[in-house]
Amino acid sequence: MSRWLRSQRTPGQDTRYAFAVGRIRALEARLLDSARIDRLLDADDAEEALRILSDSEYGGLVAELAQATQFESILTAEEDRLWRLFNELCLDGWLRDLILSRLDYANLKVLSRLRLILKSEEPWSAREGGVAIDVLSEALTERTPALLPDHLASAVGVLLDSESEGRLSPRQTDLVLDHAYFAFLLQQAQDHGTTFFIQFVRVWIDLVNIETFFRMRYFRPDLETVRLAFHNGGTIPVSHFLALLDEPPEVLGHRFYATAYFSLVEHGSAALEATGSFSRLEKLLDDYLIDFVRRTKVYPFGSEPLIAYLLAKEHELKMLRMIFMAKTVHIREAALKHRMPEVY
Amino acid sequence: MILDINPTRMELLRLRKRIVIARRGHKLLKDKQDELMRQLIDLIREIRDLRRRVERELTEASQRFLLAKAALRPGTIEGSLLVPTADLGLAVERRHIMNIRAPVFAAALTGTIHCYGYLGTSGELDASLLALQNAMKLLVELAQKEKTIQLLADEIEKTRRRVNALEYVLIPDLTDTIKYISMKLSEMERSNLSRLMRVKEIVREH
Repeated sequence: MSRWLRSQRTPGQDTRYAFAVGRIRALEARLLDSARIDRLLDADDAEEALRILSDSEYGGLVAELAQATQFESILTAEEDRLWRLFNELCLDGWLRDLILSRLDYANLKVLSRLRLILKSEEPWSAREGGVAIDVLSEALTERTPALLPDHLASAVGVLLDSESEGRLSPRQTDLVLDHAYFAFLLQQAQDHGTTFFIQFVRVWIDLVNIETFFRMRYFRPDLETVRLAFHNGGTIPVSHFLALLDEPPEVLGHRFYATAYFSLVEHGSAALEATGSFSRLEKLLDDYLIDFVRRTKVYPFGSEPLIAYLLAKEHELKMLRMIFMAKTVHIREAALKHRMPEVY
Repeated sequence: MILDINPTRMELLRLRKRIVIARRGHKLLKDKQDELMRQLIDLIREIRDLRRRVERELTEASQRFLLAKAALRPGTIEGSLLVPTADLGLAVERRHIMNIRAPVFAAALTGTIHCYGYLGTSGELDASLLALQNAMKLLVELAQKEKTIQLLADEIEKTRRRVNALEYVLIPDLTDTIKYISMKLSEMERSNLSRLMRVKEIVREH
């Protein structure tokens, strides 16, 4: 393997991203720290939270806001800025496709509900991924999956077959697309990515499977859903989850003892049993993923810090959305703090 | 107030029958009113706790829903819940309570309220939807009881007016009229008697 190719496959070695990483390091320093998040959490209402936010990176956007209830416009504007930055700094086509495919699959989920289940021609818009919404819509209405990239085309083909047989349900649509999405992510990471990307996809699959596992234990869906819900490709085999579905909650921690998720499962399970709320578990899952990407802080080069920043910023926007929503509708502070994940 | 009638013996007999019926009707209506009041008070007691429970559950469910929504990407909830797979059927039957046709709602949920996949949604969203579903059952029960209370209150109002009309208008009027006719008849009898005595006296003088 040539030195250049080896550097492409080793995390933090791709020097083409030297400028991007420098810029990301500067932007990372402007992310909200835990002290500011705590001040936002302690704010009496949304107006006060907005005043606290005005001293931060969001100051310019806050100044344009007439009312605190319009906080979503700040988050949307910041998200637009984030995606522009990503497109500007990302030098690899495969990586751009990989990241944008998340939006494609999310758009396909809604469009397949609209066009295939509801048979509605109603126009619909959302943030576009790698494929324009019109093209996705046409592929479904004209039954021409060939218009789409291969990975999307095969998933749409499955949906169209199910629809012809009259057995397409919204949940089945989501499960088919989720499987296709993770298969695509894993394939792309293995074909082009560094070991970081491969590990990242596998950890993400594990975390989604762990959350699905607890949701299944709690809500007991039908057998067909149980069969389709878990994703292959993670570090924990699907059979492990299926075998533990009926185990008592107190032994779950031990059953995951040999995995990296022991603490997460043990604490998440205990909180779920004690409160009946998934908030703590979701916080632990968020924290785990953010903790995983935090390792890119020591990478001198490579596309990994860019992806980590993208996730960290989205994570921050999610935290702000939760805080402002809670302050606007007066959700109990304890419930909010219980759910609030750690900062990047 | 004396009724506008002829003070005859026939009328007196008719009025005596009427007052007996009016008194019996008054007693029955009074009993009905008491029973309706008892049922109303029982229902109010039940509904006070139920309403508190419904409000608490709805508040908690909507707060959980909003927090779950805030933790998801914008538009996820709208997209995920675009095609609901749960159907809430409401069968309405009637039951009679003291001549009132009170509704009986029977809510039946078919299908699952979780109509989406697992990626991009959250367990807290599942839990909040389930909480809303449970609150919906209580909400239907509350609606049934509140409608029954409304019908009971209307019926009590009507019965109270009837009882009052009988107690303070019809029965006193009939009593007064009967008394008036009795006095009139007695007076006519006395005048007849004195007239006869006078005629007898005149006949005896001649």
